[in-house]
Amino acid sequence: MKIYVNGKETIIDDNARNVLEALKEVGIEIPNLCYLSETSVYGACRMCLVEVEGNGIVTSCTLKPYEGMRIKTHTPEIYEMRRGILELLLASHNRDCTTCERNGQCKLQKYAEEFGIRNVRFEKLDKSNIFDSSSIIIRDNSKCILCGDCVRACEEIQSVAAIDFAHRGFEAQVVPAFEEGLANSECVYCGQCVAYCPTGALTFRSDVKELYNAMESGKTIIGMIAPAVRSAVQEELGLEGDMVIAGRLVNFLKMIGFSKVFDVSFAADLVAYEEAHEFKERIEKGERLPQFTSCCPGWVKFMEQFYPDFIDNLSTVKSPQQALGTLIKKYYAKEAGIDSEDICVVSFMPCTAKKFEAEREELAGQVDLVLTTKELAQMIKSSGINLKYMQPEPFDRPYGLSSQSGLSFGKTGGVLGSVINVLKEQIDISEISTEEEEKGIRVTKIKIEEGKELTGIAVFGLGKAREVLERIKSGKLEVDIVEVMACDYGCIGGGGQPYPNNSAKREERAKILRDTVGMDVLISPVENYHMRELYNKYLVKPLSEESHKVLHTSFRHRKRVSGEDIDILPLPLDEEEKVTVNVCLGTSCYSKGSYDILSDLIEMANREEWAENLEIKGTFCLENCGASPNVLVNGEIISEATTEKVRKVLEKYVSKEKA
Amino acid sequence: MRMFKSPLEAFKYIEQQEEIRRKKLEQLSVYVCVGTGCTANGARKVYEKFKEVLNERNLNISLEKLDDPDENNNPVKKTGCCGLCSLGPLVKIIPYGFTYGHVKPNDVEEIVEKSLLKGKPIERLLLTDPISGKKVEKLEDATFFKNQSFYIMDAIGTSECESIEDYMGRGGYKSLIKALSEMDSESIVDTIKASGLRGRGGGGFPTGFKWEAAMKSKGEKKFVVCNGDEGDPGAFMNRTLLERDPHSVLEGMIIAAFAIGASKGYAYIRAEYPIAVEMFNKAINDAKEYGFLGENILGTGFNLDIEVKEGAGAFVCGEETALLASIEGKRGVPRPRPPFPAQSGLWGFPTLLNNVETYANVPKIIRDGVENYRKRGVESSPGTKMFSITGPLKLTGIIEIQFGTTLRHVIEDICGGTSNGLKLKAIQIGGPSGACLSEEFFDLPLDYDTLKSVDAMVGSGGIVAITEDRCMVEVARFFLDFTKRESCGKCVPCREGTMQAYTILEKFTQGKATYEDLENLEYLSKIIKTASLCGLGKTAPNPILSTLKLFRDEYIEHIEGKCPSGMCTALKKYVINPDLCKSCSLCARFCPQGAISGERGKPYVIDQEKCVKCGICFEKCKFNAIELIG
Repeated sequence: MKIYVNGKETIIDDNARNVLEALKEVGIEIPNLCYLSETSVYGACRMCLVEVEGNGIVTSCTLKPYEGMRIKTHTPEIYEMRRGILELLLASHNRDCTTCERNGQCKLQKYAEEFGIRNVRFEKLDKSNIFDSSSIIIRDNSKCILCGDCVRACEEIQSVAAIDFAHRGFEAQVVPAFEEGLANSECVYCGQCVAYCPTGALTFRSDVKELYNAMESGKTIIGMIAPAVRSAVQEELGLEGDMVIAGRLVNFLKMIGFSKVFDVSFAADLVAYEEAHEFKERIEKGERLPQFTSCCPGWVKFMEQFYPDFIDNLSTVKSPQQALGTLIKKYYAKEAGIDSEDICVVSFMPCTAKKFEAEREELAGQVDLVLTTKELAQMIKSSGINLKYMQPEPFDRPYGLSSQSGLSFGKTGGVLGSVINVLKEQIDISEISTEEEEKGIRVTKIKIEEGKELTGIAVFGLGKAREVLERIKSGKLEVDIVEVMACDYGCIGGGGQPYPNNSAKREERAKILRDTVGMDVLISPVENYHMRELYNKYLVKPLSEESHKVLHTSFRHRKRVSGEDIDILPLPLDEEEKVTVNVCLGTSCYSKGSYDILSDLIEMANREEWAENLEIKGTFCLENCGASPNVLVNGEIISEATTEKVRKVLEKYVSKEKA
Repeated sequence: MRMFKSPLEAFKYIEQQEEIRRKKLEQLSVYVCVGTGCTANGARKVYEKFKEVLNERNLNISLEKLDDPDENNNPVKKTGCCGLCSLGPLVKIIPYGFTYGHVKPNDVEEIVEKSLLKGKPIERLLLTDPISGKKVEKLEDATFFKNQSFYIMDAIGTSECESIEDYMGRGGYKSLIKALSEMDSESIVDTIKASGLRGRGGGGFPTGFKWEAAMKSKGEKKFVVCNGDEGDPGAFMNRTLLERDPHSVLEGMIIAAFAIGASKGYAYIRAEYPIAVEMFNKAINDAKEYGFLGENILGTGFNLDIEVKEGAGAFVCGEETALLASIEGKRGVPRPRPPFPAQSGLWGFPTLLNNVETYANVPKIIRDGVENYRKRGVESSPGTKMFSITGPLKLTGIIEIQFGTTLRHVIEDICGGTSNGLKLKAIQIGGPSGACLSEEFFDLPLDYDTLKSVDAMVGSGGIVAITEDRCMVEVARFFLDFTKRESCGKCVPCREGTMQAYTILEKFTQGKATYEDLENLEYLSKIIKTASLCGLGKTAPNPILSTLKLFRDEYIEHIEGKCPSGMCTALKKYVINPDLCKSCSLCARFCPQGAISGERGKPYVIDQEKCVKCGICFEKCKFNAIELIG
């Protein structure tokens, strides 16, 4: 399409979403603070104003290009408007730039520089002082410009909607529900809000200082590096496209005092190997299908939060980070003759949720510190050591060897591909074909014996994951194994990756990772002889008792609404001896008769002998109001409950307890 | 009630109702206005009292009427707003036409005795014509009444707001019958286009074009929405209309839905208008029972359901895209247009959105035809407009005039001029989005284009009279205080800009502003006006821009430390005239701040740093020695 831009004839893409995007492709980047090509158009910052002949001054993000349109992108009036908008934002912005997490990488700061703003003509007005450090995602609303990028990323891309706008006018704020801290919200810590925040309003907790503290305390520091880190850390170091960055990182970490540096990809091979056997077993038994991967902690929390019914379908194999942490503390410590208490395991991750994962109750103590790619880059830069001059060094053995499969965990499809690679050894596969159903959803058909076929799906983005889950739930989709990566494009798009962290950058990272993978000589996890050795030495075989102890974990239903349970019929017994029944007394359950069930249960516990070990509690909102009334028996949720239904489940538990 | 199976059946019934109403108006009855204004002044108590008294005295009034349990035949009737809210509660005695104001329950016995039974007016309760200053027996005789052009406000004082039969008695729903039986989508849309009807909500966009766009838009389903989220401070035309004649709005909506092919409608009415919500809900239910609404309307196969959505009090929800978001259950925040609601509105479906008053015009246009409709108003702005009048005028409330009437006519010939004896300084028209006009504009005809040409707007129709004792900077500050609070907070210019503009205006009223502030205020106004996302922001600086243009001197004087009207207390200064001070120390003893000091024999002095300008010393001084400067 031909249009006239600033008097020049310009050919633009006919299918461009809007003038802003169209002009970006021909080299004119119109200033903007609230535009994301990944989400719906918001049109709030008003920075991207252009002058259209016959239409006056309008925002280019909402403007559809048409043949022959005449646009001016930089008139004195537009300049004045943009400058005014910047000054307005700056007037109420916390301008502690030097101590801001985004110092040097802030879009607002960048524009303030480019527009040469040296004084703000408007009064300094203080905005909210909400500072939320309840979770690993830090919110500082004094730096928020209300562009809504985080809100849209969270809702539209991730379908989590943990944050939204509240209040009006100058008082408007981005907050979790009830203005709680993020720790008390449904946030899954994927960090996509951080990735898209143009200022320092959303950042993540930095643990660099903790690392130096651990070093100083004399602990043995053992590092591990995730695959996706080595596709992105280059961006911060002026080493774009460097394929041997991993080796340089190993060299760097050793220089600053790490005693060993292992490769997370090794554990990825191990996880894939274990998970493939788990999948095979489930197929044979025909249970807990489809199997969902569980190496992405954001996705795991998403399941626990929104789809607790599917928790059993998650692979119980730990993530590579946690698996490797366990191996180090359990086996390596013994072999090296170090007390595991004296080891500090540090993992370098592209991901913010990994910080959360390491602190999960079920997994705590296996990995001591999780640092993101950004934190790693900061450490390197502050050391003054230029990685360009560092020779690559190999990862330490035995957990330093990986196959192509393990390395490809860093991007979408990596886990599924690895599992299939392992399966190839176990069962006859005659044909594998993969097709991209839509962006973010890839379907793999695996032909096995007797004309049978297995279906695997690799999904990225939690919004897409939700779509897939809903299709599975409604029976519209038949699938045997599903890989989910919470972030777009997989781990390479994690919330801990360098800025900018948009689709374009992620595609570049995917390419680097693909090329790096290609350099690996081993293809399938089964070829990883160090991994085989590990089985021979300790784990015996996949899904063995030992391997269950070391490599597997558990998940839990997460209630979003906090508040204590009410003891209705408390029992002064040890936890093991009793069966706990929680009856939801929230509005929806109550109105559908949960109180009657509660009365029946009390009656039952008082009269019937078998029920003497029942501890009855009242609880509020299990977040399953659509299927109320809900009753929870020892953590198992009974939906659309009736007294009879609950009784049956209880009898099962009671007999188990007695046995 | 019965459900009509065909347009013809309904038509015949309506003709009967018209006959009934004609007869009814010849019979003895009492109409009590129960609009919000009169209700607040106790109209419902007056209504109950009438019922009670008439019941007690049933021997004196024709028996057949009182014995009839049907509410419609009760001689006491609830009527909708007459517009004279400052005079309420209003009572009208039919067939004599006596109209009484400020009626109290205690007056009821007397009214029944004298007016109802003997046909005599009660002098003391009659309304005073503010122009002639004389008492008038009948509302229709008053100058302020004669100088208006009632059209949308039908049957003042005798319309029964709760009765669909009374609406039919006034020819109501005949337009719907005509539309359903004689017209099709195109001809209805063409009629509305030809009528020149323009949106009464503020912008004055040609209604017919909106309808045409909605009609032509393709969609699995379509919606009609009525915007009753009237939020301008001091504006209550829509409330009045919904309360006094809900069926006229409903009929307009049904015709619109038929024209564009909508099957579902929403009336978005502020929750702060409980009577309007109640009236409209009743109207919907009654219309359903007669078959004017619901499935298979009048047996024509046309289906339409309409429900009321109550707005939760955000001014910005009067903006169409924010309103639609609010109906969808989302945060009421505007979104960029295009797409316009007519293309993609509620849940992405084509949606026709019009103001309450716009819809009320529709049945009239269909009934009277384009040519007759256009006889009112002016070429570019045909028809009439309701305005709500507030400020120190002899008559305030709701008026209806033809477009093209001058402001001066409104102020002098309808409202009777100022009530406080002061000179009128400015007229603020169009609410917080509107402008202040100074006297040189009072003779301009009120219509969309003329007002626009002087940077003002009809807006939803609020008119505020401002006399010379008011400070124009304070007026601007007042409106910015409103818009800054009601800004949704989405776009930067409006969210941050209105706050900054307010801050600067506050500096002016506190005497702290500089010439640089004046410059910044102008710069800000320009940014907010040009760069804001929605109408709220784009028009928010209008009160500033218009006062800066027409009353710039007042801004300058504030910078120089004076508020010419004396309204801005911060700029006032109390000083003691040493020549008059007798050093009695009275002022010092009463000063709550301890700001006054002195000693016997010497004049006392006020410490300006400590003084909070409460004025107590001024009141207490027996020698007039304390003077107010500024």
